[in-house]
Amino acid sequence: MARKNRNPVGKNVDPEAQKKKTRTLTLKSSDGQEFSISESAAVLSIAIENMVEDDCAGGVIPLPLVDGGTLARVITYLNKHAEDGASDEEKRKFDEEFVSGMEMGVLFDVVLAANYLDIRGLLREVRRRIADRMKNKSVEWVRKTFHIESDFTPEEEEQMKKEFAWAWEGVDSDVDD
Amino acid sequence: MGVSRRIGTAWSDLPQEIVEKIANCLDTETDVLRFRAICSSWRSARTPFKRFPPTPLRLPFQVNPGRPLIPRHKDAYFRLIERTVYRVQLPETTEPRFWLVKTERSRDGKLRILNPVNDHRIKIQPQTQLPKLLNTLDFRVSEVCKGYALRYVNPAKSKRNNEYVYAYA
Repeated sequence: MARKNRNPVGKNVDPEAQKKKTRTLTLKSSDGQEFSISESAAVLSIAIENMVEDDCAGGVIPLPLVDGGTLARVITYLNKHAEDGASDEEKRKFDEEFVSGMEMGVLFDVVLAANYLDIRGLLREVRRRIADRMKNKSVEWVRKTFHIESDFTPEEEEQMKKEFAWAWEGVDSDVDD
Repeated sequence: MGVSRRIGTAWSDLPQEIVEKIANCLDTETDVLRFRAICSSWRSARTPFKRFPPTPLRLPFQVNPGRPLIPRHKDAYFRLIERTVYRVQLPETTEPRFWLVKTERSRDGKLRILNPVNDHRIKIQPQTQLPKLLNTLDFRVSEVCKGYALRYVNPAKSKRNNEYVYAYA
């Protein structure tokens, strides 16, 4: 085994990967801000990777569905995850902090951007954190925080009340178990 | 996208596939129940929580053949039961105190309250003021943990006396 592996790790460089690291792309947000990013970081987004492969990029990649603030955040994420030598533990910690301070509106924009740009890791992380914010919270609190109004009919509301009820055993005389 | 949010983020406009994935990150019955009560599009994004099998899961007698702790009876079997410990708090309060309620479901889907420490059933006296139903929407309820027990069931004996909790995890 060892003899066959004549190229020690690190020297066995894929010239294509090396090129990606040095090549820079420009991403343009919906509000016209431009951001430079290495190709190796940018292609962590499957959507951008496809655009680069199709060569429809032509230097500047327009992202009409992502605003500048959100794109800046996403780029921070991509750079960290493309960083040489960043350990999995380090990236995990980064993800943790990256999402934890986000306001609801920011989370919303980031989850949409991650979905649109197809950045799997980020999407997974943000989805999980959105769910975390709902855990152990009342229905009212979630509706208020997420700006959602109930659109249930009175009949549906009635049905739901039943779902939420705890019926005690042994309170009715006819219980038999 | 992105632009539409300025007047209060429109979470109800989130693409359904994202909502579904978010919903799948919820893993307790209580959280799923609440999620499905937010609005109709969220409700359809997640199927109801799969409750522990309502038809009793019967296990053959030889669960622990080396240790015949219990006298064997013909046709006797074990039933796996699930128990949940909830933390119940009054809504809208800064009061830190809470109740710990341990429950298991009887076969008709009703809840039986157990003493969280020794697992003895707490009998609700009919004359007490406790309501027949407790609407959990009126409280802050969260699941603390779940446990499973094997209950020894001997069909030959009378309904009341055939139960013996064998193991508890």
